[in-house]
Amino acid sequence: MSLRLLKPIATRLGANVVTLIVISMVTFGLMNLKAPEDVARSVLGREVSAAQIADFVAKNGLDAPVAVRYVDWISRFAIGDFGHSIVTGRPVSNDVLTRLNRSLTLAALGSLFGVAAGIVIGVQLALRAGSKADFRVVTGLLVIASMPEFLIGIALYLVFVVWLGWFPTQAGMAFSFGDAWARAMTFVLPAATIGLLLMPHIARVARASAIEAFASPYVDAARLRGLSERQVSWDHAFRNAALPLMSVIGVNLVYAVSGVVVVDFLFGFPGLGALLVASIGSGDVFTTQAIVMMFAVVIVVINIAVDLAMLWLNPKARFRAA
Amino acid sequence: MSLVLAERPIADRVPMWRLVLAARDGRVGVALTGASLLLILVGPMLAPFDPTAVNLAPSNQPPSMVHLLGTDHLGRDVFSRFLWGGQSILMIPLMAVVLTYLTAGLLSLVAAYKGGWFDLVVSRFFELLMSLPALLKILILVAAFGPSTPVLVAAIALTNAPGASRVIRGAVLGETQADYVQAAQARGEAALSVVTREILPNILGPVSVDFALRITWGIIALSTLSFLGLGVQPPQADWGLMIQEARSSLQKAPLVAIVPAIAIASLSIGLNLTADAVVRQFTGRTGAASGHGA
Repeated sequence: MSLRLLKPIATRLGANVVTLIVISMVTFGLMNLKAPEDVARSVLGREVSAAQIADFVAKNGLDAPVAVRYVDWISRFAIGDFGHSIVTGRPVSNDVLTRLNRSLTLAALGSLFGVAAGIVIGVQLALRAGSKADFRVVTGLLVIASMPEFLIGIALYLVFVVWLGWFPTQAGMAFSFGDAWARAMTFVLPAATIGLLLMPHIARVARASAIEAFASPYVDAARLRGLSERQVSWDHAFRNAALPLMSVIGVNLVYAVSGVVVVDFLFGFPGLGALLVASIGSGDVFTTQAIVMMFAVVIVVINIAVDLAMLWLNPKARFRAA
Repeated sequence: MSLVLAERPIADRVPMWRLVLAARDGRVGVALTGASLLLILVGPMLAPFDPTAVNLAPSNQPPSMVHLLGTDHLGRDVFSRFLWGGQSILMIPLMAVVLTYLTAGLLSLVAAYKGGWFDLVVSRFFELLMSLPALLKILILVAAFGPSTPVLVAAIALTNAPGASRVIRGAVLGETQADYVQAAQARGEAALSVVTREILPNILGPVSVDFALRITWGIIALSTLSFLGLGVQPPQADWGLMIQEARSSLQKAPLVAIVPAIAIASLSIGLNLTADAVVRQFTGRTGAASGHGA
C-alpha cells in the first residue's frame, strides 16, 4: 500500500465517522423529545403519583439537560455501556450483545446466499442475454424484487413451516431449549428470506456488468493476445465487472442488516430486530436508541469496507482521490 | 437527441400505453394494477359487514356462505376487512410521495438548476439521509412520534426524498444547457419560472416513472410497518395489519393472511411491472426496481 492511498482512505474514514456522529445526535434528539414526565407516565402507566414520577425521572437521569445526557450516553456507548432499560431496569448490554451476534450471523448467512446466488444467476443470464429464457428470468427477478420482504418470508413460512412442517413454528423456542442442531436450523428460513431479498438486485447488476464486460474491447484484446478463456474471464472481464457489482453488494449488505428487523419478527427469531420492534412498542427509549446506534455502527463499518474494496478494485478512483 | 425526436412526424409516434401493452409483462402489470385499484376503490362498497364490528360471529370461524373468508380472532368478518383494507395501503404512500415531490422534489429542482453552494448543501443533506436504510429511518421516527397517519406519511416521504432528489437532479442537469432553457434565460425569466415552466415539462417522463416506483416502495414500507405492528393501528382494517393479526393463527387459518398477502403482492408487482415496461420505452432496458426504496 502506497502513501498516496492513505489520503483517500483517511477522507472516507473521516466522512463515515462524521456521519455516525450526526446519526447519533439525531437519534438521541428524537428519542428524547418527550418531556421526562411523559416518558415516566408511558412506562409507569397513567395512575401514578407525582412522587413516583419524580423518583423515576431522577433514577433514570432524565432531569439533566439533553446535551449533557447526550454526551454522557455517547461516551458510555463508545465503551460498551448502553445504560439500563427504563422498562425492565436491566442493563441493555445484557440483551443486546448476544442478539447482535445472532443477527450479524443471520445477516451474513443471508447475504452470502443472496450474493452467491445473484452472481451465478446474473452471469448465466448474461451468457444467454436476449434469449426468451433470459427475459423470463429477468421478469421473474423483478417480481421477487417488487415484493415486500415480509411477504417472501410469509410464503416461505407457509410452505416450510405450516405445510411441510420442516421447521419449528417459533425460532425462539429452539434457542431456549434446543440443541446445537435445532439452533442451526432456526437460521435457515430467516437467512433464506434475506437472501431472496438481495438476490434479484445482485443478479440484475451482475448480468448487466457481465454483458458489458464480455462485449468490451479489452476482452477482445485479451483474446487476441491468445490468453486462455479462464484468464480472459477472471483477470480481465471479472475484475472490471466487479466494480459496479461491489457497489451494489455494499448497498445490499446494508439492507441485509436492516432486513433482520422483519425476519426476526416474522420467524420469532431472538435477534436484535425483534428487540427493536418490542422496545419501540413498549416506549423503551434507552433500548431503542442503543439498538439503532448499533445498526448504524454496523452499517458504517460495512460502508467503510465497501469503500476500501472499491479503492482496491478501481485504479481510477485511487488516482482521482489522491 | 431532441433533433431526432423532432424529425419523426407526430402521426407516426405510437402512444406510450400501446407500447407498454405490446409487451406481455406490461400487459400483466397493467392488469394487476387495474384489478388491485378496482378492488381498493370499489371494495368498501361491496363489504357485507362493518370491517371493525367485533363478535359478528364466534371467533376464528372457517369460511362459510355468510362469512366468505371466515372470522378472525375477534369475530370480525375477514372478507369485509379485506375489502376495506386497501384504502390506507394506497392512500398513505400516495400522500407521502406527493409530499416528497412537493418538498424535496421542488427543492432539488431549484438547487440543481441554480448550482453553487445551495446545490451543495441540498445534495449533502440528502446524502446524509441515505446513510441509514429506509426501514430504520422510519422506525426511528415512529419511535419518536408514534404511529399516527401524519407521522407515517411524513416518515415515508422523508425516506423517499434522497432518491427523488437524485432522479430530479440528474434530469435537470441534462437539460440546463438545452437551447430552450437558454432562450428562457435570455428572455430574463426568473429561476423558479424557468424550472417549473420550461424544465419540468421536459423531464416529466423519468419523473413520472420515478413517482410510480416510489409509490410501490411506499406500499412496501407501509405494509412492512403495519406487519410489525408499528404502522396502521388496530382496529382499522389494513392488509399489512391483517397479516400481522393472522400471524399467530397461521396454522389454523392461513387464508386470513394469504388473501391480503396476495393483494399487497399484486398491487406492488403490478405497479413495478408497469413502471418497468414504461422505463424500457425510455431507455431500452429493464431495471426500474433497482435498490430497496433508496
